[in-house]
Amino acid sequence: MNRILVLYILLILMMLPAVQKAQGQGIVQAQVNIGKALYEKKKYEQAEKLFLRVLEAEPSHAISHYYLARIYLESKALKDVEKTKAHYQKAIENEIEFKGEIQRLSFERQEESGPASASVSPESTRVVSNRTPTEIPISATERSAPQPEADQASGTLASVDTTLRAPSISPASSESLAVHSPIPVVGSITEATTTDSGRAAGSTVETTLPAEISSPPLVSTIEPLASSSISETPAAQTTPSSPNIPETQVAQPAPFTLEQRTAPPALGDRDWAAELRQKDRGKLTVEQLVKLATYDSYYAQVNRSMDHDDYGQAIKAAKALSEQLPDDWIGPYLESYAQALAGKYPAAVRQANEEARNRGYDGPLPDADPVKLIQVSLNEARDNIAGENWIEAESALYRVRNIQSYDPIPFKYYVTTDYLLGKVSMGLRDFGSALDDYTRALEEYTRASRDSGYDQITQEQIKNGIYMAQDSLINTPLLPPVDQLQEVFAERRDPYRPDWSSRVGSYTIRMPGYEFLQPDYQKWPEEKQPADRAEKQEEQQEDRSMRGGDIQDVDFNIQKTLKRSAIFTGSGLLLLILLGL
Amino acid sequence: MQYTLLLFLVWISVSASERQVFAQTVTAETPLDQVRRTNDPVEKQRILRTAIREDSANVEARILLGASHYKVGNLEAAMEQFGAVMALADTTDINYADAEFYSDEINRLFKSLRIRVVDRKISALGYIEGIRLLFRYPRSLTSEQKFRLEYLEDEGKRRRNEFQFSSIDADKRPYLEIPYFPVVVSLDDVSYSKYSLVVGNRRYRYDFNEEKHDSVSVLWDENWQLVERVPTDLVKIEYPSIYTFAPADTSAHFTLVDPKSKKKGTYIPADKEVDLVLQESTYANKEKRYNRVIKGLVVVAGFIGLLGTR
Repeated sequence: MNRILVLYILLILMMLPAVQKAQGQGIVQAQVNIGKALYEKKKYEQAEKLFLRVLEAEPSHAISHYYLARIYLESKALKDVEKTKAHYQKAIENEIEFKGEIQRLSFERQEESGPASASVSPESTRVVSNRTPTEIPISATERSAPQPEADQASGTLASVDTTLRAPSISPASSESLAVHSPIPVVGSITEATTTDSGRAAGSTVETTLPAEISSPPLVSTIEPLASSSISETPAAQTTPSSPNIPETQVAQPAPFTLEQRTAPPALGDRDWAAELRQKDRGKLTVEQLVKLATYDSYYAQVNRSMDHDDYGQAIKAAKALSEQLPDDWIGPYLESYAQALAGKYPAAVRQANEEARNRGYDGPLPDADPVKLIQVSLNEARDNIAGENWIEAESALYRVRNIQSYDPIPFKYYVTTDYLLGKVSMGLRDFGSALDDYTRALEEYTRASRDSGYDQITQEQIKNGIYMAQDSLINTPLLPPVDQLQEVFAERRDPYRPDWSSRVGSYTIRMPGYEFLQPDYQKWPEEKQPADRAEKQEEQQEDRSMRGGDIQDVDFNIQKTLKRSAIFTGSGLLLLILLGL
Repeated sequence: MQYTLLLFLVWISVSASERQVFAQTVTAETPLDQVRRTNDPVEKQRILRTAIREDSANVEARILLGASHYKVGNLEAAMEQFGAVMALADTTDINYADAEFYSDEINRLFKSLRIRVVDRKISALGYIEGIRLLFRYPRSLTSEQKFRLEYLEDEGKRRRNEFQFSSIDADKRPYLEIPYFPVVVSLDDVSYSKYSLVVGNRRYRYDFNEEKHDSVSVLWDENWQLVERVPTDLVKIEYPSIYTFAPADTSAHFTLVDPKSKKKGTYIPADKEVDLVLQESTYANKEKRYNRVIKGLVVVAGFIGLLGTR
């Protein structure tokens, strides 16, 4: 027995380090998960503290190094390029335990930018690359991360959101996983995770990716596929971008117009980015890695914002990308489309277009001519006025107003706009505004005729509009005085259910001069609230309190009460006299 | 036997260590993690509300819930959460800073808009059932402002009290007050930048910018139905219309008459102690007469009583 005991103790001593390590990993994993959540919520300071704590316990924890690098890159308060470089370097040095996470990140990024592919195909997509299928098992660390239900249920290696939705932009999202990775993809594919703003992992993906580190050309074609499975095909199907030819020449889009508010044309990966991705990761400099990460990060932000129609945010991200990569046209290019999709900034679109051209982009860009945009809206307004669709016509004219407010346009377009607005005002029976619109149009007409010989609408037409508006105003009956207005009676629903508030007060009714009604009249109404409030109401009545939203019904008749009192007092007096006699 | 015992001990040791690791991973999960796993905004809000119910001081959940409301344009609910965070969290807390930021943004980008009905006398405060309004704005709004407009225009989403008569103006006309209406900031040329409000087949133009907040005057639409409801900051004291009451002090109040029910309603602040004093009565003369009669009778009774005792 003693021998067994000794054996057991020895066994425990042998296992102790492993158990402690497992426990430590649990804590580290938990801290990393929380840190990631904080990072995604942009709580960089708190995330930084957590990752630094992890590094105290495990100085070679690659994921923490990676996130710290991103924190020092993305946080305004903590921005420190030197630290970014140092942590990227550390992350790379510890790459063996790093690959799963990097790939998961690449999936997250693809998921964020996934809908962008809608501009290529509205259906599910198949990513085609030039690899030989190689099945890779999931590592233990990858299993511990939260997985979409579909993934867990199907037991397949991974699932990726391939549900697509316009409008958005496309290059990175429509390419192979490695395109999105800030560092070229290493090894096995892992599960996709959902982000806070992302969509659910919609479809299961049969995934087979290479186990090797170095990657061949990464720009891939996308084909519609009902089963939405990712598979790999020979290199012949790929369309790698040439370093000397702008990627947009691969996919020539239709010119951008207001009627067709489509996403920007699909781009390939930027040539320099594609080149970097093709290289062995170990040979890349830290500066190159930072550049690639910056590109991917802001690109995903633009994608995500456009996907949510948040063009303001997309513009911000594009501008930041433009600043971070001052030699590349991708920033102004994306900004131009974001501005154009917002639909109201021809001047800003023009500025971004010029910047993109200055940086070497020679493909198609959104139309930045305010006059063209205005003409489209004016034509739309005319059609709607002809069909007496006044509200739609007004929408089109308000679009013109928006453009006018941002961009100087020839004065003659003001005349047309105000004249048409006058017509819409008449149609919507806003005669006062109609008179204002026509009068303004007449003033503008005089100036436009003098400056450029305006000939679209005649002075007679505008004057006729003024006369019509004046007649309508004259014939509009005046409102009677307030006390002669027609009543609107309020319906009181039974039971009366206000939005009870927590405000509590009290009231007392006083009737000075009526000594025989003293002490001052205090009447508390019958219970009128729903049964479940009865108890509370009783308490309130004892406290003589009221709650916001209450109706307190005080029903009394002073004359009747005094008359009754007089009769009662007189009767008493009479009785007293009779008894006395 | 010995080997069985040994195996048993080994199994116990291993399973115990595994459980510990598992437990640590589970306890690390926060509402944020749960929220991240779902894409349904309603489900997200449900998770966060549950987290807040379980721990009312969970400022992180409150911030997330407030931000979620902010994103969909439900700004009253958002401000409620941000206010709670600022009350609960320390000023150095990052959540406090977030709440402050959101609150400032809301106050910068939104102002109250008043809409008053000019061609009708309103007998009681309430909300308008079936009201449909369409807003146009002169210059592009931020995405949050657009979400707010969508929310206000959507009868299914918005709260009823967002189109509620909340008080009366200087002309004694009740007005609807829309809290948190998007205001266009930094307009260059105000003269070309008017808002418009479309009600049914009528349009009303008005100014609404940082300097000027018009009260929009609209005409009553025959399809509307006024349903009585007292705003949450007021209490209505209802009494016969032959009397007139007013607070003894200077408490803000106003009175509306409902000729149909022959009642008057005086609206007083809900969170005050108010003395309502009788100002006028239609039958004041008769009442005074009865009062005098009672007085005389009491004096006579007293005199007789005094004589009787002697």
